[in-house]
Amino acid sequence: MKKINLFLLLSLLIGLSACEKDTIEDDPGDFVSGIFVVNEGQFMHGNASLSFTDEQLAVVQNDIYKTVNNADLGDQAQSIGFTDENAYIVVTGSNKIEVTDAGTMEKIVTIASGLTNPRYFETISTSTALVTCWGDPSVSTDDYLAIVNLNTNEVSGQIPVELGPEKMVKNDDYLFIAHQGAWGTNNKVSVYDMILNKIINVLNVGDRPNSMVIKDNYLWVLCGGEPSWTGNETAGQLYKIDINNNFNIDAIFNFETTEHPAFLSLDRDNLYYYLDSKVYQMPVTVTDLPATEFLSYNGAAYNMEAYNGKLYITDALDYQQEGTITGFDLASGQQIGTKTLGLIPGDIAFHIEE
Amino acid sequence: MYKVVIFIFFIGIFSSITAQTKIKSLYVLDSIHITALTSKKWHKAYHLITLKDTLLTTSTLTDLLFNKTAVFYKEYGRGMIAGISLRGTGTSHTQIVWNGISGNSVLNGQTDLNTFSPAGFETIYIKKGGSSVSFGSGAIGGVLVFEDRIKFDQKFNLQNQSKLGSFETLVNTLRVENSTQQLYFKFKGQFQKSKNDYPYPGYNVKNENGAYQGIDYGVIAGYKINTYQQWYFKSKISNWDRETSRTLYMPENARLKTANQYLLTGWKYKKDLFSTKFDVAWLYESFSYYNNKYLEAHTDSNSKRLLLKNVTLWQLPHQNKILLGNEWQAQIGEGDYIKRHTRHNYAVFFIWSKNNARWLTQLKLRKDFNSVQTGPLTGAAEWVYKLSNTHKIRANVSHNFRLPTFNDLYWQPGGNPDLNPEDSYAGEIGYDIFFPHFKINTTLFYIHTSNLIKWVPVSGDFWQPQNFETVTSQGVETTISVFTTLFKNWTLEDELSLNYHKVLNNETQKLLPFTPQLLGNNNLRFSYRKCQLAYHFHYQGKIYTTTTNTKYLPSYQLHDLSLAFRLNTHWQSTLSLKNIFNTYYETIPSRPLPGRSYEITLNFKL
Repeated sequence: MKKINLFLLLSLLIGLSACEKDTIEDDPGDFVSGIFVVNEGQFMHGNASLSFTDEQLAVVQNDIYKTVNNADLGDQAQSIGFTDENAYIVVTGSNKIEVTDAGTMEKIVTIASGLTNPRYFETISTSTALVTCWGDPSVSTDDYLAIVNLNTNEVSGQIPVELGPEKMVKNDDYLFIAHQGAWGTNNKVSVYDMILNKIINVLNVGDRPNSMVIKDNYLWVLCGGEPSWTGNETAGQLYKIDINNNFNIDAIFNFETTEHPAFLSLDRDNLYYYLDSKVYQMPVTVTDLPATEFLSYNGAAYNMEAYNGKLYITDALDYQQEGTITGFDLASGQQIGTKTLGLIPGDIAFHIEE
Repeated sequence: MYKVVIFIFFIGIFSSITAQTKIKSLYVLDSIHITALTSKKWHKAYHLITLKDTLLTTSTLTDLLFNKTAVFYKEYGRGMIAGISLRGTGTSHTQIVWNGISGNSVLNGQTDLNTFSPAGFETIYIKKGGSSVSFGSGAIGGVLVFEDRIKFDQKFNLQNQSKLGSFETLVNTLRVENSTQQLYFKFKGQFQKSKNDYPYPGYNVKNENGAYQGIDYGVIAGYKINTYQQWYFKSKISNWDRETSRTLYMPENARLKTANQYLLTGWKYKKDLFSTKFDVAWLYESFSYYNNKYLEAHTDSNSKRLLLKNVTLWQLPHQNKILLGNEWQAQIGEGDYIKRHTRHNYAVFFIWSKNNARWLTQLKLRKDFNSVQTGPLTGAAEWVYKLSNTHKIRANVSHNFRLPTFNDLYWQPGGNPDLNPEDSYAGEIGYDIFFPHFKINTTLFYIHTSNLIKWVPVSGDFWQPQNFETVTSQGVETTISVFTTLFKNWTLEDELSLNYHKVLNNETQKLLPFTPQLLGNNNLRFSYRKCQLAYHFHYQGKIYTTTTNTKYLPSYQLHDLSLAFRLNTHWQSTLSLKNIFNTYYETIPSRPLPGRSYEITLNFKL
């Protein structure tokens, strides 16, 4: 029965898209506006996938890359980035980026050379993007940013950086790169000047900076701290950095030594972060960490993002079955829905048509 | 980190048959080997699968299992790390027993099938079913037994096998044996080398990081002190250097070096109705994992074991036998991710055996005392009932266990020193029919294992082993073998094995991933004078890869052909064609095994 349902659903989807292509001029595509979730897939099992849903989590389409392109995505898909027309799916284990049409997800080209353990993708101009790359994770000195020429979709060069570059955020002038440390550990944020086109500063922050947001010329960096299993446990820290004042540290919020927060996110004037199955809300104006949680999550988050009045949490469950996404309304704190995604759902990307 | 863990643990997650078993008289316990718990006479209530390499064309243990049994094994690419799974249990639930010594790694609880050469052993068999009472921790699904026998039969034997195969594969195996009335000596050695760059059928990818090279050798010696006493020495040493295969979508440049040493010396005594033996064994293993083969940097781990063992047997009046055994061992494990730890284990075991004309009853008890976690009291009750000369019924129940491995206990990060032993109850009932030219064996089994140790995510990317699951495995196994002479000089032999098992997670009632439900194997052989044509068929049912049974690897069937020609009493040549239809297949997702390939083997015997 399940098989038949799946078959019907698949044929429906394919039928639908085929239909649209035949009849609509300038087809805007099937995945124009919504939330993409990159499912990492199991380590070395080659079952990474891409899911697509809407802000209300009303409908989920799983395995969209494979459905559209009739090909597997690869091993350990880490993230997805966008230009105006294209999507860039970064596949760490396969050392590649799949470039697709952002609306239809149809594959355009694979960037297969110049990327060793690529992690995240961010544009720095209309013609250039940077991709954080670990290099060989057992070597701590070969980490770099790959420069991607968006016109040719090729890697045109490398910028060596500190160990373990991971997530990036940007404002109009700067791109900030968090160095969580790859297989090891690090405590740096690199500042890339998008006008000068070079790294102009390396900021010291707490151990394992795992997520960042920018609000009104302040860069917020959430550092998880060293977990207890390292034998050298350090507390999580939240750094507030004044971008316009020479990247000076404006404030440091300290967690307890055994507290290791993650997934810093911003919606309107509130920061959100995750700690031990609880989500905390923190107005950007306050001077202390919140004492009580905003809501509790019944599970273990694999990733969390806030967007447009809602909060989304992915859960890898036991890592051997399809994970889930759960949405919460940030005004009421109430859950809006849960849907099943692919294996180990990680990066959540909002590609919403305003 | 995770990647390193994968390789060091070579995780298996979790499951034969030639009907070569010779059914002799059920109830004779007379051999000098009787103090050996590996003697088939101690396992009459089980269907043992004797592995004989009829054509002498197999060279690795995976080859042998694949060709001769419907046993499931998981292989991370040809020649790579591989583990066996009996009756749907895990790869650390089959104990490899080398000359009576439990040989599984202290570090990960398994034996890598591709670094354990089966060449040169006189006896190899698989015993499926709970066996902890005879072989200790880990023998939950069964045991794989390897024996070097010592005979003072004044014979000289020399055998050499040279094999050339696809993917630049070269294997040479030598076995030399000589004995007098008092002395016995055997040398066996095997060398293997392969570029192993097979294409992944249907994909534009080659196994570009899969080259391997290995050597495995041993010396066996025996001295007959007098009519009653014998001294012996046995050894097996191997060194392997393997690249690690890429997956379909993930390139690799890692390399794994492993070394194993098994050394054993002992003395046995038998006079009248009393026999005893003392064994001293030394076992060493080491792993060196190079995440990048071009760099010197690597991580190491190793373990050492010293083992002392005594087994004594009394044959009492009225067909009663009593066996009493003691085994003490010290285990030391250490490595880059494991601080040096020592564990002592003392086991005492007892067997009572009684038979009459139709019945055989064996009761077995064992208790393990361990310096870290004491093992449970284990036991087995086994019966055989002979209906007639051609029919018998056998049944057994057993309680079995597995101690946590050093990796489970001490791996940093993650190791959990508070783990409890895994606990397993098993039962089976079997029916055997055996005519000279026709044999059929059927077994129904049931295994209930709780406290299964599994590495699970605890927080973020931190994983820890926990006593996590309860699993029930049940199924049926059948083997049929036929031998017949068609015409003059024409003979036909067929061996068919079918296994069905259903392995359920008790909590979710889902099938355990990485465990096929259906396995089949068939060997058909036509012989005419000096020629033999063999056709081999192997079937593996689909394997779920998620705990929710939403994804699976499809079933597959493989077909092999081989033609052997005996030139004279010394020379034999075999040409083999494997995976005739170039079928894509894998036992682990994204790790294809070779498509069509060829082999030519030359055997020399003196």
